[in-house]
Amino acid sequence: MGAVFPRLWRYSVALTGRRDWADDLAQTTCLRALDKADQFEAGTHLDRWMFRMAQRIWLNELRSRKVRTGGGLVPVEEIDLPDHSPGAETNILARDVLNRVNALPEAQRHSVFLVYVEGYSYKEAAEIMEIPIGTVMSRLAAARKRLGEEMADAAGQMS
Amino acid sequence: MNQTRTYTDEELTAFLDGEADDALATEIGDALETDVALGERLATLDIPIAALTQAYDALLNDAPPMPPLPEAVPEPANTNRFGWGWGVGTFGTGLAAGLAVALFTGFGQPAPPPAPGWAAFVASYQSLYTPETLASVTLTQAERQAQLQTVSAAVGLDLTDVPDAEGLTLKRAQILSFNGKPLVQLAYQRADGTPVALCIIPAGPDDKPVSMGAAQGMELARWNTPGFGYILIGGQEQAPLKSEAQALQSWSVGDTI
Repeated sequence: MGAVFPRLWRYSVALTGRRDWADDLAQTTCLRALDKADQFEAGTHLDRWMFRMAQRIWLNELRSRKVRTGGGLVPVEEIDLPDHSPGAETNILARDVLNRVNALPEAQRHSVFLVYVEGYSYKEAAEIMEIPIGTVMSRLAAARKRLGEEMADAAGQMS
Repeated sequence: MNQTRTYTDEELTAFLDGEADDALATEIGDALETDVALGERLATLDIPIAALTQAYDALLNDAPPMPPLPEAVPEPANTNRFGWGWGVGTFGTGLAAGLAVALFTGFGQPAPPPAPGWAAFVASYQSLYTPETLASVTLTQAERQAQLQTVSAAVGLDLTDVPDAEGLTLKRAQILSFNGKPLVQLAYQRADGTPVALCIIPAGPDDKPVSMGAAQGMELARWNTPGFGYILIGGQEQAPLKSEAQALQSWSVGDTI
């Protein structure tokens, strides 16, 4: 589980949109995984099993409580990247794309993360999110369209 | 000459992601050679995936360490230092053996270490409870009996007459699982709201008197009766937990003789 934890935390950031909530979600998911360890099938993928668990915990248990107590979702600036490297062009682009992805509707953001960042196939992402493949496809298409238009607009304003 | 049909955003997205089936991929690939508008649409949908991956990879470096749950707990020398819960190897074939060692060596020591094996699990779980967690839960007598009967049957020990010792109020009785063994959690609340849990799991044959310890910033008491291990955990004060534990231990001894 230790090997999966950094990715689980990162997925928790993508799910919740906030680092501090990601800490809670990742920890709760680990506890739940221990609780249900006997249900894990040896030889299957621990990461997908835990991601699915995190997704369920977020949607079914934590989100409503967090939103109620935290006053709303996704202050984008809270996920901002650590600025370890010099401000190269690629880093500026990375930061820009990250912020735009974080501003996507939640369901689109989850799909973008699983397919484009984690590299899961549509089928695998659908299984983690427990939705039909067609829904994954339409969320990705909507996300691509919105991001593409936004970035084209931004580029147009700069030129 | 090329009559291009209109493709949906979903189809074009699947094409860009390499998820279009061969026929569709070939069709779109051919159409792109003549259909300028299609090329423009595709360009609109093309986003800088590499930059996105790079951004999230940077975030990966920011992941906090594993939660300080069982790591804080000393383990018997013959298990790895990260204990039973957190090594990748604990899942799968190594799980049963690893947990059994932790469980039984813990009970086999002359002086039990503060919180080996299942105690760490119990402590981690209990640390999530707050006074609000169970504040709104009120069991009727019938519900109480029904829950106690269920957990009694699951663990193989009659808990239906477990007392509300020392002013504790039973809020919920449920079955958890640890290494495939039933683990009973009786969630109590003190009058001041402090959550306290009595947990029971099948264990070795030896009796053990109440010993006090601490885990996850909470006070913890443990004892054994033949066949079962008990942990009472909750709060930051030893005195009330000790008297609660002694009362429940007296009950448990009477119950299993």
